[in-house]
Amino acid sequence: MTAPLPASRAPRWLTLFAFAVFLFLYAPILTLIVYSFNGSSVGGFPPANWTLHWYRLLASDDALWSAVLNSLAVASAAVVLSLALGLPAALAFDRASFPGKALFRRLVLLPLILPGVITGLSLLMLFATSGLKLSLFTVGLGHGTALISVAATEIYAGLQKMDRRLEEASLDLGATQWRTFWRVTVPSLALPLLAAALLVFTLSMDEIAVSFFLVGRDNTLPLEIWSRLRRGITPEINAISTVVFAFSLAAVLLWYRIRRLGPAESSL
Amino acid sequence: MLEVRAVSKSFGATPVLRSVSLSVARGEFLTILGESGSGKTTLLRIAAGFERPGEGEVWMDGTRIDTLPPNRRPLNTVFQHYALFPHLSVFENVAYGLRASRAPRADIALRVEQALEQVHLTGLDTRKPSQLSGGQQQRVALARALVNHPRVLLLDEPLSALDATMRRRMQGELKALQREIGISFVLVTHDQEEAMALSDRIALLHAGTLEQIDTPAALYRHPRTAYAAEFIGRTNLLRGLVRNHTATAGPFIWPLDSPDGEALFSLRPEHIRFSSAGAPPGAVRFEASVADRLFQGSAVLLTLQCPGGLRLTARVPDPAPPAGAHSFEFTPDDVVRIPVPAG
Repeated sequence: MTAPLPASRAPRWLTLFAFAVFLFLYAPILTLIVYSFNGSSVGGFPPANWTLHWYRLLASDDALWSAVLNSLAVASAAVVLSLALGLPAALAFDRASFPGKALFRRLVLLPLILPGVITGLSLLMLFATSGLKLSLFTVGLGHGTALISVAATEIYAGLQKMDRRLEEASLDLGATQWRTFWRVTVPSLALPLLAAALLVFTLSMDEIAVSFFLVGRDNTLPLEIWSRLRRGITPEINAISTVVFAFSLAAVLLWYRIRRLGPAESSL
Repeated sequence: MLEVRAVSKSFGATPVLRSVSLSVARGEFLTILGESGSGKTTLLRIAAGFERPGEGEVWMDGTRIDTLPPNRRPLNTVFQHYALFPHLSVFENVAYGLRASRAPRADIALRVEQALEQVHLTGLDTRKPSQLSGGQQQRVALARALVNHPRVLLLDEPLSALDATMRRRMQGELKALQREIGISFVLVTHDQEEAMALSDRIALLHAGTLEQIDTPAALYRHPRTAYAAEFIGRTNLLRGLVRNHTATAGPFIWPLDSPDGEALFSLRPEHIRFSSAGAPPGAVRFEASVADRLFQGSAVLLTLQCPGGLRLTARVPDPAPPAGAHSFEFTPDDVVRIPVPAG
């Protein structure tokens, strides 16, 4: 039994240090947000007269909006693909026992730590040799494959918390394995599936490395922003980045809430 | 009706069931009684189809069922902690089995209502399981199983999650329900009082072996093993022997028509009483001092210190005389001889 140190005994410099780390993390983002409201396009400190001008410009920028739509389409495809393949993989981790299972598990989870450059390059070579033309379709395919590991990890965590007796009860009541899967297993995994979808969606929305190798003529949003940067930073870039940041933050908060909701809901 | 034939089961190298055989008659209330780790739940899971027997077979009405998957067996289970579907309403939980077997729509509504009435739970159709009390969840679990008209209902410690008052009430209802619908119930429990109160017969399981299967009264009065004698109720086990129609155990000697040999004798606490002038002939008398007393309401449990260091437990009506030395007695006919296992 060790009692926690009283708050007064924690050294002051530790608090300061924590604050510094926080600043280090969020000062750049804060700068980005502040300058998206800056009236002068040149920059400089302090920001001159506040304006929503860049957001108005953003609203009428068709190229940017088509990039947003492209990214949404790619992210949706990635969600469908990664869930469709991640769910069976997670089920196999949880239930099946077959020779080489540990190896299979590591191989499925490998892309989680594999650099995006490697994933992107290898997919590019695969598509090139199979004669598939690069387009948003290949980007979606790439994101979907790269993020299976994320989806499988999330769903596997949900499966481990799931009450297996619910499935036994379903079988006991005369339902087939197939019916049990759709009527009991999947509804019980609703929250983990939703959490996995959100996470995959968010990761796909700001993915650059894999997209860079696989993109055709139509740009995704991060690539569009990146290509514009070569022509110099305009506050419009700040504005679109602020919007993306807000959506990502909302998605991550939602994902976090769903994860926290999970165990409370299942421990009836 | 339901018949378990020489079923054995091991998990890894650990044997859980050792050649257990038993059969359940039509309309019978059979309880599988045992401590945790006795294999009782495994036996139930083998009957339901969630585990496969390592050896042996399970039959039902002339059909072998241990090879069938759980969804094709004509029995239903009430699970420990109920395992209600949390995402479905009370109505949909109960209707689940009927929908799986594609019963006509009109039938479903009618039968669900009937089943809920049977368990005295009406007007909660649209609630989710999380909005119900433990007792109500228990009723939904019962209705969900009974609505399918199983020929045998399996119940896995169905009352263990309830508090004492609710448990006693549900015991009464369970027994009444079983009489009313007349199907066989197979109950698994570790609670011997529950087993005694509900069952037509009790199958006592110990370390994967069937110790004895008998009516509650027979199990109590004529335990065939030391384990059965000690597990069902309380008893004093005395080691002794029989020679020339005379039994000897500790300081006690009485005539007994039984084959010679070593023996264990079971003497229930309620069969020891204070000596009185009107004792039946042949009663064995002894002097003992009261070492400890435990008040139980209608009776008092006394720990008796007998000559020769022997300790006995006696159950006498309240009020009992004060501590000190007293004269006690028992009738030899009340003593049950238990065969000493070889080795």
